[in-house]
Amino acid sequence: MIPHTLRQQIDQWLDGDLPEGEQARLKESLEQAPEALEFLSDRALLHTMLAKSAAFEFLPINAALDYSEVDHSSKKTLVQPYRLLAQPWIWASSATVACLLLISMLLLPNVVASPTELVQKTLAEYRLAIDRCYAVKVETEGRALRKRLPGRAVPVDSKLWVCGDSFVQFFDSSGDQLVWGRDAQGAVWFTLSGKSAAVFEAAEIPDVLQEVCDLRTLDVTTLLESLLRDYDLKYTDREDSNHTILASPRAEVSNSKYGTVEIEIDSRSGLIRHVSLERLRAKRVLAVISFSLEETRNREDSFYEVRTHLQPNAEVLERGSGFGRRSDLLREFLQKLRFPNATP
Amino acid sequence: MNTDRESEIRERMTRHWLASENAIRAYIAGAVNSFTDREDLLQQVALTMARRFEEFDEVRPFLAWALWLAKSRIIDFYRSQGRQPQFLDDHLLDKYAEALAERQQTIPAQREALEHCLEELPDRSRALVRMKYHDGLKIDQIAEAIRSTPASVRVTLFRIRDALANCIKRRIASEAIE
Repeated sequence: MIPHTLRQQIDQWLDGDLPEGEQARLKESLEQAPEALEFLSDRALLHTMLAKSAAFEFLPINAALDYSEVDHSSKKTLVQPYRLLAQPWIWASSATVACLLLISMLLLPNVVASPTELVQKTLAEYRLAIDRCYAVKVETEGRALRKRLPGRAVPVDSKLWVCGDSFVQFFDSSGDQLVWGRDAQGAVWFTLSGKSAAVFEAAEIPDVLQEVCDLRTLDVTTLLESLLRDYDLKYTDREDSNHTILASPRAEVSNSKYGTVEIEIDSRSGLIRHVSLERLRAKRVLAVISFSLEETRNREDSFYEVRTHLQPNAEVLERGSGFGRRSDLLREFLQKLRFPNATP
Repeated sequence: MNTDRESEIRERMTRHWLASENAIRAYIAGAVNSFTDREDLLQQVALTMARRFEEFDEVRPFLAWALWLAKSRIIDFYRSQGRQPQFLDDHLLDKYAEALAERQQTIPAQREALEHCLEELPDRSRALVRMKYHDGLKIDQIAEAIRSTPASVRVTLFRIRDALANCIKRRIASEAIE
């Protein structure tokens, strides 16, 4: 597997954007790792094919306008990126599109995307979108469960960053900051206050850790795909661009991870603003989890890697660290996650 | 040389060049950093190829020959730069040429798949790719145009390319099964 940093360096080199200082390092990596040269070959071909692609000639007008309107103060950036807009046929087409939109709004005031179309759009946007931060609350259902697990009697709050399949989540627990995440290679890692960490590669994630992963994080792709496949969707609220959809599992679906789901989507950007979902186990509600969007920001890929969240001399336990130390750390991590208010 | 023969050679040369241009461009892009230098080198390779086309042995692969010509031009380019060391040394240039030659057969299928994959991109991502490749903007110019930071644009483009590469692989694999 080629490290992310190296792959990014290769992209930057092909973009003509790699600082001189890093060029020597990239050169060294290419000399030492044959797979890096393979990646360079693939990527250079992709760059070349993109430069010659015919697809951009037919870019939808609204997409071009989307970005061209962002900076009205700079003539250079407004005009140069969109030579296209200077062409008369574009203005003529835009005027036609605007007239058609106006007529359709006057004649067909109720035409909006169906809930299914909106979820499809959100899924497409999510696959390539920027990183999002959600405030997460987990509330356990039922008195019996709360009695058995006193640490969970109050909602557990955390911050969750997600992008694609990667995530990083921050909790406070009994004076420790717990951080865990999944990197771009699918490895799940966690650390207790950055002093020590454990990493489980994608193929060796224990069931118990996978379960916590499912419970406490937001796997947007799986959730949205599941909504499209197994749920009946209906709007419960539509205010400006904020559309709220109530998703109820279809009767014939017997093995869903989720019960009723309420999801609020910004129909313009395709951003999920809020999700509240029932997490099921054996058809019984285990917890109600809510995710509220706090911010969106592009983060470096390294943000999702364990090293970013460790103190300088922290020890990282991986496969082969021996003496079950990684398992011991996992037990401690899960304990703190389950009972965040327990006295140390 | 009679006119028929000349036009026949020209036709063969053009056919070979068109089939190999992507790989030759990719070769130069991997070896030289600046866009202007890449374009200059591509022209030099095309000119050398046209001048020496009669030397080309039709029983051997054209791409290997063209990349060998390109390698000489790249080495000359770095020599003319004086102090600047060659980014890929001679041995790596050979390995790189081999890697590209291995991919030559799949390039038409990859190009076709790419067009479909670009259609699947969300509009905003496609607009970003367009700024980069069609409008030829640099990363910092894109960042300025969309009121973002160069680092964000780099990361976003990196992810888009990853998604496109995966999409191409998936499409080619599924077509192979069908």
